[in-house]
Amino acid sequence: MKRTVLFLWMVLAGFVLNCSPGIAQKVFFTGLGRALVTNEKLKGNVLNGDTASPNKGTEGYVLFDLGINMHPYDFLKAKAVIRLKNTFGAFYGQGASVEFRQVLLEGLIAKKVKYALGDIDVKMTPYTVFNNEGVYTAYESDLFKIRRQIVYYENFNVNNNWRIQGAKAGANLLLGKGGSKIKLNGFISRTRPSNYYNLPDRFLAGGSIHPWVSDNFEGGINYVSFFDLRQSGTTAHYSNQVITGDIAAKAGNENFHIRAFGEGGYSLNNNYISTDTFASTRDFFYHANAEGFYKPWGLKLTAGYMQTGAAFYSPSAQTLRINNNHAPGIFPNVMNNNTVRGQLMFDRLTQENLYNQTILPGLMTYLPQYGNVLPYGAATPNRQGYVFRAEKARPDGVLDLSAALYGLTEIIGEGTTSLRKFHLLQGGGILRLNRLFNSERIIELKAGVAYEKTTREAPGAIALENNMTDAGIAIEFLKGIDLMGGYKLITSNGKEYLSIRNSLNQIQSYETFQLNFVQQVLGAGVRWRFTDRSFFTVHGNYTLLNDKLSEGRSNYSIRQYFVNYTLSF
Amino acid sequence: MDHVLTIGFWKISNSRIWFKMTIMCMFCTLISAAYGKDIFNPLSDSLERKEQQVYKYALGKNYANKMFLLNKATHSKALTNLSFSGVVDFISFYRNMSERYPDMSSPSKNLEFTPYPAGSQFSGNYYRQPLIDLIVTANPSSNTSFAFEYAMSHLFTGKTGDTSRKINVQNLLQFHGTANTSFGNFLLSAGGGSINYSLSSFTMYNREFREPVFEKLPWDWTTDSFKKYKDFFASSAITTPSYYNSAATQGFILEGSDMPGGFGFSGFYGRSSLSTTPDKALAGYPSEILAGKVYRGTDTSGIKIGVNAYRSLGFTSRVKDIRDERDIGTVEFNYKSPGIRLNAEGGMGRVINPSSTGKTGLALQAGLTIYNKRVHMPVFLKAYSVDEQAVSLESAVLNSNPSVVQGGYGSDSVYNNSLYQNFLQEVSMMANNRNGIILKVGKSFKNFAIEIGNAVSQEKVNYSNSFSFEHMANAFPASRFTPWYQYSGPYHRIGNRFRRSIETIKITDASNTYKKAFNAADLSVKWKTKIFKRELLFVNFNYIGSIGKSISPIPVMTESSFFRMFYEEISAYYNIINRVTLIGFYSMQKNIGNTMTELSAENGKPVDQLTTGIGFGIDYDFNDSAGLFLRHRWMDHRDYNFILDKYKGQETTVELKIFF
Repeated sequence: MKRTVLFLWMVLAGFVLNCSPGIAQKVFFTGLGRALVTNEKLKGNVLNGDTASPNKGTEGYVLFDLGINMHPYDFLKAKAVIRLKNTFGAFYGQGASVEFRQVLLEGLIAKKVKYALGDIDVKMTPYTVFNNEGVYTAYESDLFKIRRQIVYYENFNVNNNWRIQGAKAGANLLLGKGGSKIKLNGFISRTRPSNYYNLPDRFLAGGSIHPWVSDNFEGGINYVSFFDLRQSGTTAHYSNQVITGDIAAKAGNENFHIRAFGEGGYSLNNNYISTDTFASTRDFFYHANAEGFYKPWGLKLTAGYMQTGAAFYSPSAQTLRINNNHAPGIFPNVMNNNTVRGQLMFDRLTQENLYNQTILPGLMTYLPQYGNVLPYGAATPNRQGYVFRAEKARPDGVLDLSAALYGLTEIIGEGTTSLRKFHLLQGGGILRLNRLFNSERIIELKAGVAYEKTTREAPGAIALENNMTDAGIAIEFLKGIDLMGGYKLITSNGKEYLSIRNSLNQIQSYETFQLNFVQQVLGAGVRWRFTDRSFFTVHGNYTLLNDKLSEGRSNYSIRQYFVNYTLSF
Repeated sequence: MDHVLTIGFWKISNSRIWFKMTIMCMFCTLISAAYGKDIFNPLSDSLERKEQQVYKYALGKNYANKMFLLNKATHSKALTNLSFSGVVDFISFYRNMSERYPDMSSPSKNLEFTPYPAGSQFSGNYYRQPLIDLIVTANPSSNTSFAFEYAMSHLFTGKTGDTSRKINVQNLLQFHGTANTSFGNFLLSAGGGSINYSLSSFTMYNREFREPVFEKLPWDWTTDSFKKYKDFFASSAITTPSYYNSAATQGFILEGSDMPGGFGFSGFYGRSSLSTTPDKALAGYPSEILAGKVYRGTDTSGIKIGVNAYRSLGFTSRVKDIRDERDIGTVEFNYKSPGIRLNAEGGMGRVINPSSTGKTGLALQAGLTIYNKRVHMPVFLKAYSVDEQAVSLESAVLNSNPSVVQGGYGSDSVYNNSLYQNFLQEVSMMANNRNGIILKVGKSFKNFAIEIGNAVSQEKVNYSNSFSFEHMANAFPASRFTPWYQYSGPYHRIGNRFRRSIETIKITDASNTYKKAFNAADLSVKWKTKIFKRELLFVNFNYIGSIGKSISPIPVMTESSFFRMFYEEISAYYNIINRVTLIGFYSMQKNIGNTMTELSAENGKPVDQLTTGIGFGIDYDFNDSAGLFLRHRWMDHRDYNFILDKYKGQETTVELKIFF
């Protein structure tokens, strides 16, 4: 591996250094450097009588991702990102590594077709290929966003894309002189190689055709298939196909328009493990919306209705970006090192190792306290109901506001004939006081809330309420230097049953989830911005878990200092 | 407004902003050679200049210019230019030992492609000299920069699937950001690899070990070998650049200068190469260093005063709340004029760990250099008093407190390369648990230079009945017999460190009513002449040292001393033709213990060692940027009483070094 890395690197470096002057002008570099150190301390009742669990630590690393971008021809743009990483405190080559983070070839064929090959990012619609964020972050403090951006960068979570290895191509073909065009896109990726024994090669492929694309209308068909290459390792095989149609139509003028848009589709899932163990399911979904927008006020109102069948499976839209079964990276165990510490919101916000980069065929386990209404995003199976959204935002506005209300129910009962009812209200605002005072310096306040309620009547009664409140402040008190503060309050109270699924994605059993806790995350810090993309920051964070079910025995807090310099270009 | 700054051979011209940043960085980040250091540098500023050269190499040929001096107008949004520089450094040595220590980590006949044996159980991957060190630097914007390296090492094991080839970071992985305001100029440095950082002698600095100029240094910067020897002729006997054994750090450094009232500051948060081990770092052990200074004044002339603080924070484990901490706070005074340089520092320190008393200790030192241009005979005088409780492994003070272990409390003492208990030091060195005086005088003529040094010190408290001393003869070869291991040799008394080999001997005198006294004196003579119109340099270095029960103004080379040591070194450098230098080398060391030290089981007599090293070398600079270097050494060591303590053999080193 090292040899390969070295060889490829030398090829690239040699190319950069030795290419002709004409080509050299088409070489440019991108990069990100980051030095990061955290110091944390665990305290609380959970450590009472504990003589074995680590309760303090210092961690960190320094890394540099150098992106070498070569654009010698229109039909070839090559990019390689090479990562240097050094564990904080390991000197002279120990704890240091070099690896390829990305290799990408892309270009334009016949001046019409864009292609990409290598480590590519793909995203289609929320029901086909979509990497859901999984948490409401619209009004999160900048202080926490810095941490989240690091985690997302490390896990390739950029704009709901999945990072996969494969190829993609796309074209926009003009139709006549009317401005209409056809949009074509496709991709293919191998998400798992065969082990030549019991695991066949697995592929993810998809594409879309939008034959009617204009300023006021767009419609098309999307298709995704997640499948095994049969006989490439075993007789077991898996396939999941999703085909959808999406449409959007708009009418109005520059100041006011109404728009209707939606998507509907169908999934077919075949999972064959052996002659005794196999499953075949199919289901459908649809989601229809109507939107009105009044530009002078910056006001947008949307109403919609959605229904997603209980057996609608779309792995590339339903796979979670966070792995809820992973132990936290810091203080993974408590209770004399015997009990895995549950993930706090702070862990999910700050720890790179919790995240999942692989599209998985089955519905992953989720934690109801961090999102029970739509845990798998818009494509969450077994949901139907209405959605209302309101948004007020202007480019130069002092105050931006938004809110969304979901009223959903299950379509079929899980383990009972009763259906769950879900209500989700989320929204918040950003107050840019600097615009009020006509100042160029940042003075910004944020606040947001996401409130969830899940109920089900007997038999199998359920009542669960989740609340996540965000508040943030950023004040540029000296030119380029910001004071930042952030606060999160997470509460969860009630009872829920969590579905345990087998390898065929079928519900096998239910795990009772009894919750009654309060989590708080408090952060304060300073950020020194050298450029728009390079800054130094120091944070102090304090997170607190008050677990009322354990009568305080499981309570704890984590204090963490965070020092970071990020340089990117 | 443009300025021109000349440092050594560098002439730098650019905007005022970068001019200031250059000064600030030079003095604060890496070099820190002039300020606060006991430079006995009577003849020229060549030491400083060398460090500039090293600095240039260490950060890449173009890095300094790019980083500090880039004109804003040259920036564009897309980064289209990276600067590449670096060095190709092929090192190989072959060793053939007819007599060897039984625990040597490599066989009698041993071929290596790294300065330290690759296959040893102790070192191996711990030290890999990059075969290719490719340094990449750039300024993405006018106030940010980065520098990193791809260090590619190759051990030539003949295998294709092993780890003999590695690419990683050896020293350089840094990012910088600057801000120039009306309130002052600020520089932030962050990174890994190894960032050299210094504050003051007692807090974060470096130790000063002498290195024979015959030895090739891994970081040798020169592309003109004979010039290197001529520079050495013109410099002090202390040839070790300030970065050697310096505080290699990782983390964050924030520096401010040109602040109102002439104030400035420097702050560090991170780790040093001595504060933790790689395993602990990977395991998230809690250990950090927080250090900083606030000062008023400049390094160039006049008065500069500063307050320094150093705190090495940590715990003995991730579970228990048992602190492993070292604190030092000092006040520092510096005065510099053409004829006088004064550096004084005083403060308190304490060590908190399960084996320490927790008491505070004193640390005082004052050094005065007087230099009269007409007499051309600089005099350096230094006095110091440092308690055992004043410990910073990153400082200029050798640590004799055994409770402070490299890598943190509880780390394996077998690899504790930072303990110098009751050490017979070189003349320039300070140690804790010691009161001492150092005097050095130099005089130079056109073709002749002489330097004399004398150091007297006495322990403050007699804590242990043992002492240690340095094997100056064959130090580098011996250090790689069992690299990094502290209880090696046939009698488990030898501790090998980076390019050093140190031996510890027990004192059998049960009484501890006395305080051990340490004396060291050295004499350095340098002479240059011409033979067949080609320059020839001779360098002679002599050292005598003794450890006794009572203090004495000069080394006591009689039986009354627990230990006596004599070291003699002669080397010659002949520039036989352009670009080719022939080198001859001879060294001899005699170590003698008295009957109050441990006695041989074989004949009941104390240590009586004779070590010799005879070598020759050829430097061939076949290009302005490249050279081929050969060294061969015959080495012999034996103790006439501890008869198992002997080795004999020869060693050939070939190095090909190409800068680009």
